Amino acid sequence: MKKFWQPYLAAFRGRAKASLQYRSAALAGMFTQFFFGLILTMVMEAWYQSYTGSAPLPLSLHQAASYIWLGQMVFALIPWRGDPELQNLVRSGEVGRDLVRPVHIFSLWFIRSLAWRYVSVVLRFLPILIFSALILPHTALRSIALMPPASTAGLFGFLVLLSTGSLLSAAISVLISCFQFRQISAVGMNAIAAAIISFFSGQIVPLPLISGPVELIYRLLPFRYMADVPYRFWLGSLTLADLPAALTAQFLWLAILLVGGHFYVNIQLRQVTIAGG
Amino acid sequence: MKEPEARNQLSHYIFMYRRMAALSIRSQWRYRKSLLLSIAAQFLIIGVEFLGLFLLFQRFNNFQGWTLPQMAFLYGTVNIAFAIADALAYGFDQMGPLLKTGNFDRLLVRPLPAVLQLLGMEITIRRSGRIFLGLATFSWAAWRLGAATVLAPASLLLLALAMLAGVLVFLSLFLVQAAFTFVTIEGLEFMNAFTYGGQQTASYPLSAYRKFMQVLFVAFIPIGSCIYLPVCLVLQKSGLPGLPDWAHVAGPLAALPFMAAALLAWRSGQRWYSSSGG
Repeated sequence: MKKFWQPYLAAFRGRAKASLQYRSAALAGMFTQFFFGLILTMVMEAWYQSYTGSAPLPLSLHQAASYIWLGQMVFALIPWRGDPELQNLVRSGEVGRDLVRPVHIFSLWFIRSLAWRYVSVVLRFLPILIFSALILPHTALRSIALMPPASTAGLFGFLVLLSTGSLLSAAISVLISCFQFRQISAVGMNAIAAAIISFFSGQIVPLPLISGPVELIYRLLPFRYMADVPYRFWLGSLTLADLPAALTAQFLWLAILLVGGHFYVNIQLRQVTIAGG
Repeated sequence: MKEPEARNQLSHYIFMYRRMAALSIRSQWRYRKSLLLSIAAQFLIIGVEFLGLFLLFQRFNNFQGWTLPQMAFLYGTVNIAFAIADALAYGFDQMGPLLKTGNFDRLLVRPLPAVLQLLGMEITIRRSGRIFLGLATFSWAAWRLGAATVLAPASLLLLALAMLAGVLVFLSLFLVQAAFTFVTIEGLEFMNAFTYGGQQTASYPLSAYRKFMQVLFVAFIPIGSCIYLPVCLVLQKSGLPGLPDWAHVAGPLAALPFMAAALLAWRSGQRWYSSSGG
């Protein structure tokens, strides 16, 4: 008898292989990320040079620049938009074929999305790391290069949280895609999600630099656990002692999103109309 | 039949373009709800970018001596120009699919330049959310800076030129991207570094960047010459060291050679092209 997890494993493998086909797209995207990283870190340097206040800043320039590079490195992990494959399924009506499969539908989509995220990150991660951490320090741009992890423990925390963060990210992208059951055009939903998630995960401004009411808001949202929190371990502003709390928060959010997503999808599917044919 | 005179031809082009634009806007208006949602979403995207700028200001107090209204002024000018170009360039963006399906050949048999037909393919209203926010930041900044600085006739003229030149440079960048598609078929994502990256770069004073980045955006992709330099003059800020005053006034003119080069690239791409797909 087949094990219950076999279809999910097959879905993971299939999507991972399909995503690997887009190597050249990833390469082109990487150049864009080098370039954006350079622009953003130079602007950050200018901010630091302009500062004349006496209060110490929450991050050093080197840390802030590293925060930006880490953001470029795991760029593909941030769920900027819904899963395009799933969104196409919904638009074309092919989603009907998924619905007759004898599997748990939310899990299937979740696994597929996860494979897609993993591959996109793995394709981009290393080249950007090499560029920002190994090449830049030997140029005139060394002040805005990526610093090495603050400690081995920091690197450990970063890697652990990033890999669990990818679960959170996959869950969020499936949820965004599922909103599309109500609204056929994905453009608006994707854009709104991109705005909120990019800001509150720390991709626009390093979150440690923000204080006041906005800080309260970002602490209450799940998005920083896939980016901002792992980065802080790399930079050394969080240590091994903070890891259990961070992991607990991550898994709490993951549980909420998975359970909530499961029920949400079931409710949506009860009234779904298959478009197209 | 007699060849139409050059002037008649131009007015014919304008007439045709207006027809295409009107059609495109009417067709998008059919999906009002989705359209309004998209505009709101665009507004939100640029909104969080600006929120980021605002929050950094709270932390650092100034940016190389620029105040928040001054930064907002530059930011608004750049974003209005980019938004207009982005909305017009939809057709350029579609070159990949057009070539793959062979539909580009249909454009070639029509008695109208392909560039014009691509420009008229769709005026993407949903990208106009950026215009509203650009206008909002621009007006707020103009109000805070005082009408005397910004709204003097000479300043207004210079700004209008700067924005027009900015639109032309961004459009030319999208056109170069489209021209590359003749060779690569697949759309080229690396050009995003210069289109979206150019918009991002130009939103901050160019003096913030290292030398090679300044040279890139003043001399090669002249978005800095077109917008940053004149804005410095209007705001009475010192621009880039080593550049004479006349360069600040004449900056927007740099859009013309850049546009010519882009058109040349397009033309050689189109000449090279020998149908694909079917």
